[in-house]
Amino acid sequence: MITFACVYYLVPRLWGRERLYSLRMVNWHFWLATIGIVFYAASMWVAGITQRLMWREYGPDGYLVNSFADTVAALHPMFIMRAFGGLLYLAGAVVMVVNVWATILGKLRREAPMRDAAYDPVVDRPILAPAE
Amino acid sequence: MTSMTERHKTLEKNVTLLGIAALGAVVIGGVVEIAPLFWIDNTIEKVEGMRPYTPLEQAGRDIYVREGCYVCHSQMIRPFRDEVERYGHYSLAAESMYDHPFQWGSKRTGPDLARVGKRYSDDWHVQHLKNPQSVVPESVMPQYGFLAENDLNVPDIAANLTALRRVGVPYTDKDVKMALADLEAQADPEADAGDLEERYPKAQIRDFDGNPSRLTEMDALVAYLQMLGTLVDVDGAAAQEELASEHGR
Repeated sequence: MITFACVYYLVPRLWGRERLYSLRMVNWHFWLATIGIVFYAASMWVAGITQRLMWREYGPDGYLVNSFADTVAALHPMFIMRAFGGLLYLAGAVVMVVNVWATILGKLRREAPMRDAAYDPVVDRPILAPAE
Repeated sequence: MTSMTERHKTLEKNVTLLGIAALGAVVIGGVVEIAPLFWIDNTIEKVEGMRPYTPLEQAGRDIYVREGCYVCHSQMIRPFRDEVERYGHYSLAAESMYDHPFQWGSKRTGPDLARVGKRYSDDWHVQHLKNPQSVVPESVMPQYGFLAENDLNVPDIAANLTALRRVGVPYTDKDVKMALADLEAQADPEADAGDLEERYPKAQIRDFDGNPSRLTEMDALVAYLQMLGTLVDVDGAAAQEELASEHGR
């Protein structure tokens, strides 16, 4: 995400553009990537812990409970969620490529400004700077 | 106490000094980790039975790497009770000493293959590679049926062995000279394998893919899978006794 932010910061400056092609697309990219990560990280956490617990599960008879194929079947839904999360993340990256490409070509998207809080000099100051 | 933290600030604020001090810390760590290697003879415990791969097994191994099997299959049985019961004796360092590159892997979407050799029949492997779901319904493995269609095409197997010899695999001059003949003979029961079995003990010589008239990529891959973990006698009485005497699992 930091890398993407660097790209968004640098591209207009390197190519001497007034601004990015679209700020709204940056917002879309941010949310697609954030939600994508949540899906794939959460599903893989659960999958990893499930896998290990199933591998090491012993029955009262002292034998292993699960075959390897049992664990594959149990993890199948997690892998589908992982694929879904990855797809969202990839979609975000595609949005970025389009946005950056259009910026380099010098296009500016006509769009409603992002809703933003008005600048308030009293509140909007660096936290470490001494208060007046 | 205060003076110590004050003096430390000098170090924090001077980038050159900080760089020199950081380098010093890294060098100490490096020396402690690397220096002992010059005084110990070997980092790999010697075991009996290890030999370099036969040319056919090596060709199969190259297909294994080419197809990215290592992405889903590890070849490293860890010394835990459940792993030893599921896959067999834990992997020994010496068992991967002729692997370039090693295939330990780090993720098991599929099961560990370090000791898969001789666990299943050749027919099972061929059927499983063609259509994994036909023998393991839960499987998520892709199909590799094309391996049975492709002729095994190794441009210069002797050059492969020579390259491996340069990085420390003890192939003899004769192994290199005979490489192509060995490659073809191992999968052809009709051919005269010569002294293949003496030079490569425990080499399995037979047609692997169920099609004796052709030497396919399937032959090579199945030959490789069938030898994995079979060289060192870990199921022998002595090895099993030693395993049973180990505590903590």
